[in-house]
Order: sequence, then C-alpha cells, then structure tokens
Amino acid sequence: MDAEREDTTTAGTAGTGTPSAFAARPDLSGVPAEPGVAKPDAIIVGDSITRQFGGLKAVDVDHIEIQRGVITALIGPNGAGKTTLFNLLTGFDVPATGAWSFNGSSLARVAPYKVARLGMVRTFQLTKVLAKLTVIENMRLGATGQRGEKFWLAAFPFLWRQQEHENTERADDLLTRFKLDEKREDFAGSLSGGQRKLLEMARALMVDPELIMLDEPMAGVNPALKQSLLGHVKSLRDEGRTVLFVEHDMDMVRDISDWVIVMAQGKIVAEGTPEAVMTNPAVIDAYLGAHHDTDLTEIDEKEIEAEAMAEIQSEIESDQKDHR
Amino acid sequence: MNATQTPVAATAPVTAKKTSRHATTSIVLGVLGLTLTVGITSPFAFLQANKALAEIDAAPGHYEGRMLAQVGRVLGVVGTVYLVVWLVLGFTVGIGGVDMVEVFRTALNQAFGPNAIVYALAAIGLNIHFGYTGLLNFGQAGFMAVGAYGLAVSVVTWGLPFWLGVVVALLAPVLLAILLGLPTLRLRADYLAIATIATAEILRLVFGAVETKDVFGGSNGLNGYVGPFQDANIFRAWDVFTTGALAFEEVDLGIVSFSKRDLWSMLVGWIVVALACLVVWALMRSPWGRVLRSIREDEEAVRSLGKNVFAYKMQSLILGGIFGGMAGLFLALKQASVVPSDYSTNMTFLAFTALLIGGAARVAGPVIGAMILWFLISGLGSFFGQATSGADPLLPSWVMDNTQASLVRFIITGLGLMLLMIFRPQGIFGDRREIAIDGR
Repeated sequence: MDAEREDTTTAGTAGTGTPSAFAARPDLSGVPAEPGVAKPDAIIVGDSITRQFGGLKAVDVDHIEIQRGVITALIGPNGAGKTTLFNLLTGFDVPATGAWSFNGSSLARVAPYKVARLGMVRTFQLTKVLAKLTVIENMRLGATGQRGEKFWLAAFPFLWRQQEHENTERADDLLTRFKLDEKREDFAGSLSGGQRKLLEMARALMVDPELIMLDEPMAGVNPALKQSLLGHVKSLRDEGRTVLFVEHDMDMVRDISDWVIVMAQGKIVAEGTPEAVMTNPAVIDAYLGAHHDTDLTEIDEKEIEAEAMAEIQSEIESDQKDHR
Repeated sequence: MNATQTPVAATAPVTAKKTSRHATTSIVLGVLGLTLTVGITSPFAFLQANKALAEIDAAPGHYEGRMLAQVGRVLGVVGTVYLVVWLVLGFTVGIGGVDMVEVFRTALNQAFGPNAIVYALAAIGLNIHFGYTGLLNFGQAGFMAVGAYGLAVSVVTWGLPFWLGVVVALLAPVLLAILLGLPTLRLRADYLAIATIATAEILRLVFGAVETKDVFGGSNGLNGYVGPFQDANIFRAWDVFTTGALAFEEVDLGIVSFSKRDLWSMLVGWIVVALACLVVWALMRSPWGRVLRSIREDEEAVRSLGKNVFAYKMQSLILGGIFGGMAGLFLALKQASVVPSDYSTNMTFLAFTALLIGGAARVAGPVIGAMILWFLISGLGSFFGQATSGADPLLPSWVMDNTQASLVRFIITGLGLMLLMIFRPQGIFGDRREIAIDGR
C-alpha cells in the first residue's frame, strides 16, 4: 500500500506537468467526456469498425477520433480489442466493416507498408527487433525513400552513398537521444528487453512519422528505464508528433496522457481526460475495479516473494541437515 | 552450461554435479575415431577432452566425469596416431591396394571440376533465398530444370539459335519464380517450401513423361544443342592452331588432370561463379540487401517501417531462381544432354548441404561449400571404391562390398555434416556470434 503511494508520487513529480503546461498543445479540457466524441482537430477518424473472430466480436467501434498533437492512451482489460484495433488501423489486419481515415485520406484496404509511408508508424507489443542486424543497421532500415533499396540501383554505391551517410547521421542522433549509442555496433538480439523497446521506438522515429502508435511500451521494462521511456514519449509529443499508445500501467497513463479512451469487449466505453476517466464510475466498474488505487500486482509480488523466500529457507535448512 | 544457482548456493552447494558435455562428446568421438571414421574424428576427441578437463578443473564442484575425459583423451591420441600412420603409409606405399595419391587426385579433380560449379551456382541461388531472405526454397532443382530445358527445348525442339536458347534458359526461371511467388509469398514461409518442392517434382515428371516426349524427349531427355558452346572452346582452338588437328586428350596439370572439354566448361563456369559472387556481394552490402536480411529476421517489423515486403521477397526469389537456372544451364552445357532424372530433389538437398557447409548468408560460403562437398564425396568414393575392389581388398567383403562403397560416401558425408552442425553450426565462413543470438 505504502510502496504504491510512493510510486505514484514520484511518477507525478517526475512528470513535466499537466497538459496546460504546453501552450502549443491543443486544449482538450472543453471536449465532453463521452465515447466517440468529436475532437477539434482529429488526425484519425473511424466509423463503425468491426472485426469478428469466429463468434467473438473483437472490435466493434461506432466512432473514434484521435486528436492531433497530443498523447492519447488506449486502455481496457485484457481482450478488450485494443491491439486488434491497432492492427486494423495500421492495415496489419482487415476489418469486416468500417471506414477510417488518416489526415483525411481513407485507409480501407491499404497495405501496412503504405500506411507506414503515410506517416503512421506502429511498434509491437512483443518487440520486433531484427536480432541478427546491428543496432545501427536496425536504425538505418527505418529511413524512408532510400534509393539504395531499389534493386536496380543497389549495386551502384555511388548512387546511394550520400543518402546513406545522411541517414546514418540521423540514426546516430536518435541513438544518442535514446542512450543506445554505446550499443551501436552490437547485434540487436543482444539487447535487454527495455533496450529493445527503446530501439524499436527510435527505429520507428527514423520513418519520421506524424502519428506514432506504441503497443504497450512499458511491458517488461524495469522501473529505472520506465522513467526515461516516459520522458521519451513526452518528447515525441513536444516535437509535434501525435502519440497513441496501449498501456496497462495506470501510472503511466495518468502521468503522460492528455486523453484516455477506454475499451471493453470491443467497444469504446468511455473517453476523457485522465482525471475524468479515472473517476468515471463506468470505467472503475469495467476495468479499474473498486480498488484501483492499490497496485495489485505489487501486493501479489510481495506475497509471492515472501512465500518463495520462506520455501527456499526451509529447503536450505533441510538440505544442510541432509549434508550433515 | 551454468548450473542454476540460488544466491545461497555459493556457500552451500545444493545443486547436483553434472557430467561435462565435452567429456561425453570426446568419448563418443574417440570411439568413432577408432572404428567408423578411421581416425578422422580422433583429433577432435582430443580437443574436446582437453576442453572438458579445463572445465572440470575450473569448477570441480559443478562437474564430474574427469575419468571419462581422460579416457577420451587417450582414445583421441591413439586415434590421431592411427590417422597419421595410415595417411603417411597411404600416400607413400599404399595400404592394401589403396593409392592415396589417386584418392587425393580424384577428390581435387572434383573439387575444381564442373560438378562443383553446378552446385556452387545452385547454392548461390539458395543463399539468396534462404541465407539472406529466409525463404525456404526446396525446389531449386525445378529452377535448374527449367534453365536446362529452356536451352534444350529452344534449340532442339523449336530450332532457335543457340544464343536465343540461352536467353530462354535465363527467362524461364524468372517466370517460374513469379508463378510460384504470387500465391505463396504472402503466406508463411512453410507454404513456399511445400509449393516449391511440389513444383520441382511436377516439372521433373512432366519433362520425363511419355505424353510430352515430342517436346522434352521423354526419359532420355534432349541432346544435340551444345555445338556452339563446344565450338567456342578456346583450348580446342589452341590445339587446332598448334598441331593442325583436333584432339580431345587429357590435359595433365600435375596433381589434377582434365579433358579439354571440361577445361573449357570450367573456365566458363568459374567465371560465371565469380561474377555471381560479385553480384551477390554488391547487392547484399547495399540497403537493398539490408531489407532482405531484415525480412529474414522479422517481416512484420519491416512492413511496419514502410517497406513492401512482398516485392522484396519476389525480387529475391527471382534473383536466386536465375542463379538456379544458370546452374541448370551450365549442367546442360557441360554434360551435353538434359535428362529429367538429374533434376530430382536430391539435387536441391545436396545444394543445401553445400550452402550449410560453407556458411549461409556469406558470399563465398556456397562456393567453398560446393568445393568441399565434392572433394569429400569423390575422395571418399574413390577411397572406398579402391578399398573394396581387387582380389584381396583392404575392407573385407563382409564389412562392405564394392557396390555398397558408392553409397557409403554419402553416409560419411552426412556424418560429417552432422559433426559440422554440432561443432560449427554457422558453417566454415559463418559468424559464430550470429548463431549465438537466439531468434528473438
């Protein structure tokens, strides 16, 4: 209980502030907190998007709008359809019905690579680094419009060397920013889980996306790295990008998001600013639970740890007896 | 290798001791060396035993099997001495009628001969497919077949000029790659594997069928298209120029000797192999090659970064297919006939063997691999052939008779491949670090 409160406060103080701290950022305080509400300047607009897996309607969204230039969090219990919605929006999966657009251009039946080229880049829940390529090669791959990636030009280095050089400089800047510059020549497969998350984010930035979609950026990241990841996500918004992320970590959602969309059983059940959503009784019932202020995972962990320690202790004791 | 440790285990060893893996390996290799592999594995048994002893002495609490390792070392030493003795005797006086110089000659002949070129080209194509892009093409024989038949059918059946036949031979694999790739490249890798192996078999059966005899020549195949290639033989021209007559005798270059026809095939073939390696090298160091290698690692990730994965896979399938077609074309040229039974699945798997020996995703890997493969196959074939022939053969007939000898070479080659996969899974040229990284 105490530990959890400490966590919240540190996360709160480490944050750069409330949404109003940035003048350039669109103000969403006037937008009513209701599902499918219209935003002042939407980058993504979707209508009646459905996706069926057998008898299960995994996604059934009537209307969704994502505001440009802010951080939007997509939360909801497991199986709520968050990742499926991600896949549908980015073209990795095809919906049964629905229309959605990015910057006004329709994305229905557009291949995922074309979606990415339009400026809408995603990361994956299970990080997908290219294990047997070095970190810098991973980064270089992200750059778009490379002449050297065309088959007929590839064999003639003088046609692409200059561009490659520029891409490498940009990649090095990003690696420095994400503190991966020391790992530059290492295979991406040798990175830790958290470093892989960082690399995936940095690589997505090589595409220079307008909208970056992060699927559980905090999953499996240790607390120390979490703070720096939070900072990186905020810096994305501060440089004018739109961020949409799926996350279970409520501290992160509270701390950095400007707007929260809550999904349950495929539908959007609530929307609003973090404060509004966290106090929304519907959300508390559907997802957060009555004790949403207590960090259940941590309590569980402590209990399990204590049990495990006791078990180990007794085992050692019996073992020592055996040895004697 | 590390035993699981709890923080307390350092003070009170609660983990069970286990036998050093190297010790077990050295025993196995040592016993094999004194029996089946006639000493070839013995030096490795010795090395493994030393590793095991070092390991055990470094952490006596964790490992046992010191005795085992010492036995392995003794076996290794004895086997190595045995190996050296029979090699020395074999190369000087010969043992039981086996002329080791002759064995070595045959092996070297094949390592540089036209057969190695065929497999080198086929494996270069597979290297692009499998080594760089991760496409499982189990039908390289099919690409070779359409290359070979492309030439033969154009010239013999359609009566087209030779050079047009070569063009057809190079375009046919492109067409095959597109036909195979369109339906399967959007699916998972295994679908391509199934589709390619089936297609290769279908092609072989169609080419050999009675119903299509008018076009493809049935099971006897086609011949009589190779004239212009042989006329261009510069060694033959040299012969005519110096002596005024045609002659097709062997050219003896000391340890190796080739017929003039083979020499001409080899000159053309190795130039083609060198050019192919140059192309692969130039392409794979480019951003294009980087995309291919990335697709091998994770195609979803590549897709999410805005690359048209399907197009790249198709380009890879076509390029590798063209090299496969070249292998078939070269085979057709060097043996002056196209026979359907040549293009069986064996050919694909031997080309894969060559690729794995040399090391996948390395430019020179498939070439060196093909040379080593043919050195081994023909050297072992010659050795066992000699060892089982004559009135008083080295190997008594109850162990192996002469007809079995030609099969044993494949068994031993397979055994060698297994040992390679255990001790050097990355192949001769591969990067150990890459293997050490596990999938993701």
